[in-house]
Amino acid sequence: MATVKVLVPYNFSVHDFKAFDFIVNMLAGRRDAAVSIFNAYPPAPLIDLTSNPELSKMKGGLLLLSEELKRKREGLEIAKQYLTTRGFSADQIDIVFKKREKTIAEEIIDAVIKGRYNIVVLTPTPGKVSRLFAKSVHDKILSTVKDVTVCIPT
Amino acid sequence: MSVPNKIDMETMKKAIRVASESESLDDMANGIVQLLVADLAVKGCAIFFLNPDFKELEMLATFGLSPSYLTKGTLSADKSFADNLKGKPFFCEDVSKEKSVQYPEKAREEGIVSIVSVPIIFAGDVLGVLRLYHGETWRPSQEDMDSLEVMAFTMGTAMASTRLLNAVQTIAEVTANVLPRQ
Repeated sequence: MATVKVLVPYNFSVHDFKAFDFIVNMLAGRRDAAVSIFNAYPPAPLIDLTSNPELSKMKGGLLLLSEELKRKREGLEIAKQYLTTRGFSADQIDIVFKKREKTIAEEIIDAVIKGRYNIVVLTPTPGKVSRLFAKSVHDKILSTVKDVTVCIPT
Repeated sequence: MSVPNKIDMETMKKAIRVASESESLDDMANGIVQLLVADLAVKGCAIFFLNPDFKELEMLATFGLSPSYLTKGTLSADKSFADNLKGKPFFCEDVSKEKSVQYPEKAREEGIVSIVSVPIIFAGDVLGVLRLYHGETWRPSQEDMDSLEVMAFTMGTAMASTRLLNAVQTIAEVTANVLPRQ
């Protein structure tokens, strides 16, 4: 059974791979480590399917959504492969792919608590800009989770 | 011959409704990229913040683009449609012939032929860009470019108001910690 449980939120950005590299440097080769790659995809009420009278457009919207989820699922598998080619075995890597029902910070916090993770590796943001606009996911997580190591590689 | 418009009043209305009714910037951005891909039948759409310190574009929301394209490398604001930094919208009809495309090979692999990029501006400052990617040759009409600029201005206002709200909330949290409890 894994004694080191790591959660890595992944948002398909170029900077996310710094988080994966950090995990590889810290934990590759350790059989007691388990890593979960986490993505909470945004809900899709915003393509207003129900109010669209054109059936063809509605079908198109649904198809687009299912294709988007498929692309994201494939992206998570690529991230998993990134780790399995760098010292982890496939059974150590898990993918958590769920619909976002709260803010992204709350989703991560819920996942950490429910999954009893010891370590969270957050994506480094290169600058202060996103934080200024979107309020820091990092701050929210740091101020909420207890007995968890939160790592932010820069 | 006049170029047909892709953006009609219904799409504009939906986009502005998403911008004004969303509870967070994240919801707004995700809503707009989904809406534009669905309504305009383009390949993909993305909204980026501009990081003025590093002159990089930071991803806020995307739809329709593959993870391998999204992780192709950092987007340098002065290499990728630099005219946007001056507040000007820009379109590229064919990525294979355009020098302003930072990763033309990756764009071709992704099946992108044309890109339209519009700056998101508030009070004269470029806050980010709205970018549309099409799998076919697309020369947008002047009306479409104008509509995209209007959407981008609306997003700029929403971004600025979110930034203000975050600042006020932070001040309130700090004040609550500093002031003695009653």
